[in-house]
Amino acid sequence: MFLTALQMLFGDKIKYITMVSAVCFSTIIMTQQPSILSGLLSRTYSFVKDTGAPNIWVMDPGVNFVEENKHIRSINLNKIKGLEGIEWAVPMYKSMTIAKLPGGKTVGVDLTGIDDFTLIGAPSSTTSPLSNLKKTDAIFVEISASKKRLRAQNSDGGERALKIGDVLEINDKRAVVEGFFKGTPNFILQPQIFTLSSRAHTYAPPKRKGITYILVKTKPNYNEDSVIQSIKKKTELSALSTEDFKKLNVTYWKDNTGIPINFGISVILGFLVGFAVVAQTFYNFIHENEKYFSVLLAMGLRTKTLIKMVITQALTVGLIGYGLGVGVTVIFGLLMMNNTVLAFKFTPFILICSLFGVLTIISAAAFLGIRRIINLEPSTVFRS
Amino acid sequence: MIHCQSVSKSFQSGDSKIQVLHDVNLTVDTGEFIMIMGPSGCGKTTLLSILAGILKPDDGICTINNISINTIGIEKLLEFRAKNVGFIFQSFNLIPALTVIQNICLPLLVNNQERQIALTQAKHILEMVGLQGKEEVFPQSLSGGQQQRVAVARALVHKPKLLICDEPTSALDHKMGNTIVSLLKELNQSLGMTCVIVTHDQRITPFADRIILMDDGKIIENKT
Repeated sequence: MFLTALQMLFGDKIKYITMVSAVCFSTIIMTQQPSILSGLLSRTYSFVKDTGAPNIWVMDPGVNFVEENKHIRSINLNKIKGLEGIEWAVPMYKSMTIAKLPGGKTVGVDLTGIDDFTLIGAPSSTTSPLSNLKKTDAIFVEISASKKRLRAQNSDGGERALKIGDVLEINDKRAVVEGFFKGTPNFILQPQIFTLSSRAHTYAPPKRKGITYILVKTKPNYNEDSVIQSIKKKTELSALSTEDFKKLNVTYWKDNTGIPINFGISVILGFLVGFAVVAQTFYNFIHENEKYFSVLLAMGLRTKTLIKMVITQALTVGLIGYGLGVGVTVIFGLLMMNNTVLAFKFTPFILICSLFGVLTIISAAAFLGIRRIINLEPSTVFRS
Repeated sequence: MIHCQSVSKSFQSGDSKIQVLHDVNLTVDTGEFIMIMGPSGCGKTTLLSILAGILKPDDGICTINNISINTIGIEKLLEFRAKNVGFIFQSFNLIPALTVIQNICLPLLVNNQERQIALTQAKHILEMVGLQGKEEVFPQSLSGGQQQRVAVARALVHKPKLLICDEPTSALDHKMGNTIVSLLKELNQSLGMTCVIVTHDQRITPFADRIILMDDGKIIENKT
């Protein structure tokens, strides 16, 4: 009888398409919006993720997110190097500054200075050897920014992507593009530039304290937490594991912006629209088929078989709509993969939560249908 | 085949109780073709529902093929209806989302018959009612007479012992009504099943072996 249930469902094309479309629409909203939120929040720690080498970040205790750039005294570097369990510790300097592009346009940039000697903290994916950073006035520019916000102006007024050899001015100092790197876009969407730490100090306005972060790698067989505790004790600075630093970034942006609430409202609205349309349409579908269900009961069909038929119909609508919705979201995600402006991160957690949402919708629809079926009397078949 | 003795049935309507059948006695022999007639509200349909095993009487005894409708359990009753009773309705009640052949298969599927075997049997009965070639057509594209033929095929496909018909000609013109009842009569004689028809249609009474006249919940005349 289950095939008959499906034939009855597919036969009522308008209601079937309406219900599947509503579940599909809800699924799209319930998967796409959280994926964008998830993508946005993952950008809050993109710099930490891209800087893969250290497992401990040491910083000013007041730092809430990676671009906050509160500086610490250089002496702390030596204090940390002297601690037990440290394989290496290197300085990193970060500053927000202004770059003047070829042609005269000025743009705010996120400048990072890495350790001059080891080059630890540099991005992993570069177009030129990292050693090029040691050339005079060398900088590496994030490749997508070089094609968009950091486009140079030609003498004829036209614009072009930055290229190797182009000369920028940062704080009135010469900076030569010697390479590009692929970086994950950050939350504040400032174009990223890397150079040596010593050179970054000359580009950025002079600061009394010369380090923003100390990147630390613990020796194998040493407990990360105990090393963190010893760093804190020795320096009175904040020391966080990479994972904890990522969480600090996410928490700050989550708690201090209305972004999750806004996305949450979208998801709830999507759920409610799907809920209302599917429940109403399914109820009407059952209502209109009641006399046929009565005929089946008169023929000797058991009520529990009829209930199973209704559940089969609701599940079919739900799973087809969900599959289509997830498919649309995946296609959207694939199309957005190379888009640096729109963030998108589709996680298994989102998939499970949206499935739960869809199951809630179809359970409610099936419940409404079953309520009518349970009270159905086969004797009603003789009412004309 | 059917034996009803002192059958009464009432329904609750708000605070009042409506007595629909009063002390009805009726016997229908196997293979008989009977018609139940009477004014609206006289209890014809309630009696038909009891004879079909859909309703249980409040008082009295009703046995069909020596099975007591009063005392049989719900599971047995469902099984009894599924195997032994075929239904034809006034408004056909064919499921519009299913094709003709899928509609005809339903009683067999309710009896857990395998789908392929059900389809073969359904095709055979469709030929018997003269609608070969209409297997994949949807009911709404057929004429009223053709739809009632499909309903007849659906009622007979599982070879029931008892055929219950509720106003089978009321949605049809005289000619088509006669055609349907003569088809029922023909099948009644060839298959040997018992046929109980509730009708207002005087024009089809010549086909009946016996006519039961009802009024006010009682059988007032039983004429052959």
